[in-house]
Amino acid sequence: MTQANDAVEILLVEDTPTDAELTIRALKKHSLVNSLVWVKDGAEALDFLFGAGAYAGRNCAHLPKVVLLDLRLPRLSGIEVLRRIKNDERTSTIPVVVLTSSKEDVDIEECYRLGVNSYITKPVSFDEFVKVVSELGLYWLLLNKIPSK
Amino acid sequence: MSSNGTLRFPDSATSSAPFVRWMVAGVALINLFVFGVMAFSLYQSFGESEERAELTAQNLSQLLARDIGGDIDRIDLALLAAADEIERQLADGGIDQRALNAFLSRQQQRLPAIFSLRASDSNGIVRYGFGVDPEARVMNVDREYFRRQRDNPGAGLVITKPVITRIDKRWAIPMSRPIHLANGSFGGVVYANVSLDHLINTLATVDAGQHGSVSLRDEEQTVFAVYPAPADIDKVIAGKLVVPELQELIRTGRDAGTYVTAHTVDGVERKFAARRVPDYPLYVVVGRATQEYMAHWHDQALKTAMLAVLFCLTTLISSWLIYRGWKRQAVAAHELAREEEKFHTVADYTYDWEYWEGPAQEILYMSPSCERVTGYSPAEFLAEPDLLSRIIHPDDLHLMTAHRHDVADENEAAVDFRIVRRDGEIRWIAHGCQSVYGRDGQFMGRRVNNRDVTERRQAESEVRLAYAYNRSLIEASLDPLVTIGPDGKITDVNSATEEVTGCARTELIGMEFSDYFSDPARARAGYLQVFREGTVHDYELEIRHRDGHLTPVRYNASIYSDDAGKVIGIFAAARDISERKQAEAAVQRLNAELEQRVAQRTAELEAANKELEEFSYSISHDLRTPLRAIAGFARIIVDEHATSLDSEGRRLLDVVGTNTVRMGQLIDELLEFLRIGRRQMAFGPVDAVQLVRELFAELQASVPDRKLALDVQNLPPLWGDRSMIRRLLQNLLSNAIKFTRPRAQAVIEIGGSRDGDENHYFIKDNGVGFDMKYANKLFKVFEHVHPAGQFEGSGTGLAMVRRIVGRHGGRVWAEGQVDAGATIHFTLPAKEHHDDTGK
Repeated sequence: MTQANDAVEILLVEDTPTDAELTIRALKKHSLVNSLVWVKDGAEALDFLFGAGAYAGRNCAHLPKVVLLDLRLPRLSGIEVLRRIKNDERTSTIPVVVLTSSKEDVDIEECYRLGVNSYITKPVSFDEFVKVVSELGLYWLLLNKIPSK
Repeated sequence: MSSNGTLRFPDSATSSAPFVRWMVAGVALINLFVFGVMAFSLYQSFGESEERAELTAQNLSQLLARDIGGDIDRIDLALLAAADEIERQLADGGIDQRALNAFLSRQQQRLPAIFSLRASDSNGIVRYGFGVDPEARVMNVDREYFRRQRDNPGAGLVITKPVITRIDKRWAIPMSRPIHLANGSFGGVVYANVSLDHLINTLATVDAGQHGSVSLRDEEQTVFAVYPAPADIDKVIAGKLVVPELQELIRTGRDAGTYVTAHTVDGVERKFAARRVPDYPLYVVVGRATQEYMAHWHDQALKTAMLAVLFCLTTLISSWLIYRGWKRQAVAAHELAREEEKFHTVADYTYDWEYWEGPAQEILYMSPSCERVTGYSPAEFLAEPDLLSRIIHPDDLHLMTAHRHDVADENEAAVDFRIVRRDGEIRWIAHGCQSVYGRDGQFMGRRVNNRDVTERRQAESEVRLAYAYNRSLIEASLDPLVTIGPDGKITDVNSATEEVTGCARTELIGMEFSDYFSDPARARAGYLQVFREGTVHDYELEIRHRDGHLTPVRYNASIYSDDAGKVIGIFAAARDISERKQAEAAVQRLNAELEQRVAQRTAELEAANKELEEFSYSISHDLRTPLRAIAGFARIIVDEHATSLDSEGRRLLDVVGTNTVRMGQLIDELLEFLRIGRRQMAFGPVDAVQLVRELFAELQASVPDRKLALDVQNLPPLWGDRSMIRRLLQNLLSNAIKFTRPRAQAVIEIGGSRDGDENHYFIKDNGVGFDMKYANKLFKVFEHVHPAGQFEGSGTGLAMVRRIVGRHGGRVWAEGQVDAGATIHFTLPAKEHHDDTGK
């Protein structure tokens, strides 16, 4: 996983392994997982992005094309991760898509206030789940343009 | 008093007119008589004066005529003697010049009236006489007397008018006699020159008065002499001054006469008496000036006139004095009449019963009004002196006795007593009397005023009764009552006030109201507020008892005014609120405890809410995640391991997938339901009709193959949280659409009306309906009244409706019948009755 750390396209922040597997499977169906890094909590996500902790020495200049962020995370919550990303110059341009089970208004409102790029609720139905994830992967990886360094 | 309010009495002026007329006439008559007598007397004395003057003039003229006649007689005798002597000497042979002259001289000296006695010859040459120079040949041939003697030998004595003598050069009246020669022829003239001066002197002997006039004239009225001699005597003498009256006298040959005329010389009016000198053609005229002889009469007339004027004045003054006296008397009599009328008016027209009791208690005057008050006439009182005390009520006689003593001591006193009228009625009399004294200080009895005060006594008694009644009400009050004057001093209290302060009312009345409170400044502010605003309500104070303990009271007070509306004080009622205060304290304590408990509960609730929130959060997140895993991996098995599964295995995995999805829906709806219960509400007006139409359009779009009819009637204005109301209507509409699915034509009817404080809405459909015995289950979560599978749904729709209506403060219920449609009713508070706190 770490060998391709420098040129990561998708950073998946997800603590639930089943959801992560379903997500990766969904993306894989469309061959969108070539450079995907899956981290299991918020702190690890930040370590990855800022080249700290286990990811010390990582070339941070390579930003992922999209961060898929679950909100309910151990240690550092998804909201906090979002705030750090959007408040840091180095990472503020990274598109962050919240992919969560929560339909709570407070969560949606807070995320948008912090500058989230998209908020997606994970459908329970697998067909729909696959459809949603693959669509957002296609959109953010292929269609969306981000500022070049 | 007369009807128009002024006193009228007879006019005194009209009654005095005859008197004044008679008096004026009398005075005029007396004066006329006196003037008449005086005038007559003056007239008489005037005539007498005239007569006397005439007589005097006549006497004087007579006297003078005789004197002059005498003188002439004597001169004539001398002339005759001289003629005789000459005639004798001639006859004797010639004239002895010397002897003749001596003779003539002697004769001349005997006669003072003449200043020369001479003789001339027939040729007119004066030859003889004293002082005659024969050689001078003085001629008197041209003299009148010579011509007359020569021409008329029988002429006798000739007296001619005055001439100025040639020898003596002085005025003389020549008197002459002829000298006859022996042969009887004319032999010359002897003549005597009568001195004019002498003649005037003779005239002067007569006192004709200062302005009198005496003259001597011949028959031709030639003036021979006049006295007083005028200054131009040379012009007057020998001139003719013709007076007609005298001429008439001479012509008629009368010897004497009188006349009145203004003198030709000086113009003075005189009364003249003319008399012929006896035997000679001469007239003496004595004139007396009228002004002189009438001077006495004039004097007398003046005095008489003055007397008349004096008399007239005297009578006028006297009559004026008499008139004045009479007038005063008349006025006095008139005044007396007026006074008497005034007295009668004042005394007889009294409303009250008045009388005057003499020193011996005898009735001297009784007003007619006694009859009105007592039923007895004044005459009856005068006739029966005891009547007065007889009609006094027997029970009140002692009052009268005591009263008489009072009057004797005090000079004036009053007493109320009862009388028994003639008709037996008992009346109350207010009796007042005072001693009266004459001008000289003599006691004249008593003046009494009796007023019938029966009605007033009755009214007073009613007032007393009312007062006693009011007083008993005030005293019976358990509340301390007090009245306060504008100065803040207590004016009255009741016994409850005595009790609460521990002070007797005699101590309280007159004291400062605010002194009896724990907070005098607040007490003062309280009554000042009443005076300012008219009332105070529930003004709390603490009354301080004498022993120091305090009674909390609540004052209600208001001002009270007199009949004129002037504020005279405050009526204040205190209510003891000790018990209430204690109760309030207890309430406060309980409140404090309650608040503490509430705070505790709130904290607990908040904690529970927090927990619930976390719980629902974890449900929404954590519960769905395994579901998704179950559904996802079951599907993966079907997709990726289909070969190792038979058809039954695949069906079972589909069931797993379907139920996990269904559970996800249940979770969503449950969360939604919970969210409705927690959400903050934002109230505002909601256009329900518009909202219904929008929602219906959306829902209709989701079932395009259905035939739906919506009938929205006029809805009352709706007030609520828009998103919740939207949800409410959405659930009801979708329910209606759902349960009308078996109908070829679905009819949904929405209506409402105002119902008291709330608005009532309903939504009715022609769907499958329900059995009313399950009506209470309709609104419960996850409850279904239809067999499972017949209609989809979680069973939270109507539960959410009930939740939303409940949070708005309304009610919800359902009516229905199996296969005959259902109606869901709900109410919401109208805007003005809305409690916006949001339960």
